[in-house]
Amino acid sequence: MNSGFIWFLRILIIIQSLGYAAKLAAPSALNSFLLGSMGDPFVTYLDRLVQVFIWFACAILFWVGFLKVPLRSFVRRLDLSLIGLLGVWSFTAAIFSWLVNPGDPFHATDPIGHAVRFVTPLALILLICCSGKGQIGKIIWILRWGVAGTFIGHGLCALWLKPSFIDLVIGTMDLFIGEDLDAYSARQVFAEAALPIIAIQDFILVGLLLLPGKRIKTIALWMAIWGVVTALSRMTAYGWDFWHDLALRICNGGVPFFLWAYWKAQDSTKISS
Amino acid sequence: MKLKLLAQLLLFLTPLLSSKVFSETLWLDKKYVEKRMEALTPVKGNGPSQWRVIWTKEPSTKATISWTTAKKGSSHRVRFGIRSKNEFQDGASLQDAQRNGAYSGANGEYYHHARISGLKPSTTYHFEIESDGKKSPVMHFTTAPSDDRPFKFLFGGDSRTGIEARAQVNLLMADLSAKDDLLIGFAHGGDYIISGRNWSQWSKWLSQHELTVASSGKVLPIIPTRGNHDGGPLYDEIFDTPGGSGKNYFFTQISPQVALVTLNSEISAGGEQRAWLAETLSALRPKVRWLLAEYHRPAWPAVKTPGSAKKFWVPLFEKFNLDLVVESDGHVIKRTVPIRNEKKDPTGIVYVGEGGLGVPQRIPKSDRWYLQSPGMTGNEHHVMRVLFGKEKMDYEVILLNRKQADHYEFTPR
Repeated sequence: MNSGFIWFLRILIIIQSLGYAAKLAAPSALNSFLLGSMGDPFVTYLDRLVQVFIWFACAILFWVGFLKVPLRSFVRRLDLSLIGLLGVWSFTAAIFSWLVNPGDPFHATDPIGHAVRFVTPLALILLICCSGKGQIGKIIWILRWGVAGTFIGHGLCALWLKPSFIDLVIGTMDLFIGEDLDAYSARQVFAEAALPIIAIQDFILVGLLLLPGKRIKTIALWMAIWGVVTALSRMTAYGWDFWHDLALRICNGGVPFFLWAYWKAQDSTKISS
Repeated sequence: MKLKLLAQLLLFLTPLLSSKVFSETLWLDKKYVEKRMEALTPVKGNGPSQWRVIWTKEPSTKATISWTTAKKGSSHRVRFGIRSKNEFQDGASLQDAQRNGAYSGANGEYYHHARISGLKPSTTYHFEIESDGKKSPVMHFTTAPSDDRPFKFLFGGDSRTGIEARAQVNLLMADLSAKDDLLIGFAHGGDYIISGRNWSQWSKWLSQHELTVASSGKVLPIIPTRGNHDGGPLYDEIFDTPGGSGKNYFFTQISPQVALVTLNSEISAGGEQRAWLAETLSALRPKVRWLLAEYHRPAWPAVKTPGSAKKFWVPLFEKFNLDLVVESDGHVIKRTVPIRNEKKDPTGIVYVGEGGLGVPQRIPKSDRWYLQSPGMTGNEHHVMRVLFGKEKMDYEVILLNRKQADHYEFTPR
């Protein structure tokens, strides 16, 4: 695989991880889970430790990206370990987000809805370690399933009219159309009508992305655009302070874009050969 | 010789002093708390248990008396009236429970809600719950005033997780209530338990709520708020769907000069609820001296990141010059500086909270600009008490040991 693609995934993981680090200004789900048994300040120190680790890992990942290091070298092993640990943190955050909100149907979707966040580091590790053609096909499928999980998780939340999604639509409308006291209720009605349609769109996209033996570039591109738009809605609704909410969702659009670009490059290679 | 005498004196005085201290804060003794928990009315058979009085819209003339039975039963009613010398004056009124049903996901326990109305303001009503002939003890509560007399209210949130600490705070509230006739009600800021769909957790909370009843039988009516851990149907079954199904937002005109707007941060904040809030604040502001709002997820958090309240509700709070906003969720003590347009401003809104009714406490992020002096932060189990007077609104935070952790006076705008 072209090293540019590997660089792209690396950058996605760095941006996502910086989003997680910024998000640690508030207690993590792991912090909430351990608060009862371990108490504060232990849980605060734990979050702080994770935050510092993420900053350190991102710096190393960026630096190693410029180097050509052999697979068995210490630097590469460090690189792979850090990518793996960043993936583990994404996975941990998703699992504990579900566990600390027992019975909450929206949080129950987090382990699926956050799939692309922890699948991407796994895919990057595999791409660095296994560059054989047959293996790349399997790794691409891992990414496809990660994107599918994220769209299914978000689709379910949209179908069940997650209140924060309704507010993302309303907040974004406030920004582009302007705040209007008389329109607040109507905007909620609009959002509640639009979300199930968005959910159906998400499920159809997943179905088309996972078609065996097919790779529809347009679907991947549309998922990339939609992934970025929905991630951006955190900022269009609530402002620049919420940049970290966009950053940690960068893979939602970034990985479908990667799939589109990779498939496009493959097609170009076939045509030229 | 002198030293020996001094030692003997100390030996003699220590138990005396400690008994004096503990007699005022018995709940600090874990054995006492355990004993009180063991003595709670069991949810058994068709007898009433887990009683509570709920206030929503008009607490000067209306209240809902609610309870639990372990069997469906056939007759559920409340006998209430004004009593003197242990007798109901002019006989007692009877109100059958208008709403009965099985708690969702429970093991056959039932809820009963008797909505009573036509009450006289500022009047102490005694009541006795009766289910299939089995009676509760006689308890009482005082209706809210219809004039401008001063009164007090307790505020607090997050009673989940710390079962023993929750019992301690409940006992503190009962004690505060017993010693203060001005104290008439309690507004809970949400997160009663960990999982809102788990009946056994709610059942424990409901049983422990009995600890807030003073030994005289005085009950503090509760104004409920939904928190992020209170999802599912049980909340509405327990509190008689305050504010309506799917909404759970409403305002309480506690007295002609005091109104509390209860919001639901667990549904859309920016749509219908924001329109309702704008309309409600616009109508209430010219009428009342003290206008407050309460909801669960903070706009100005001391630990977490801001909820959607900051974008959708804060501009309205500032437009209509609220006097105090009560938040929960963070598990700390906090009082912000007065805030307007995201800046410290003497004309701004003060936000207090953030949940200490039993949940383990966190370390507040006290370096945030809005928590700097004259704002404050802390982290101990606590309850907030507010006195609504003519010249001032007196806010204080009371810790388990009865010490005051914070105090602030507001003057009318």
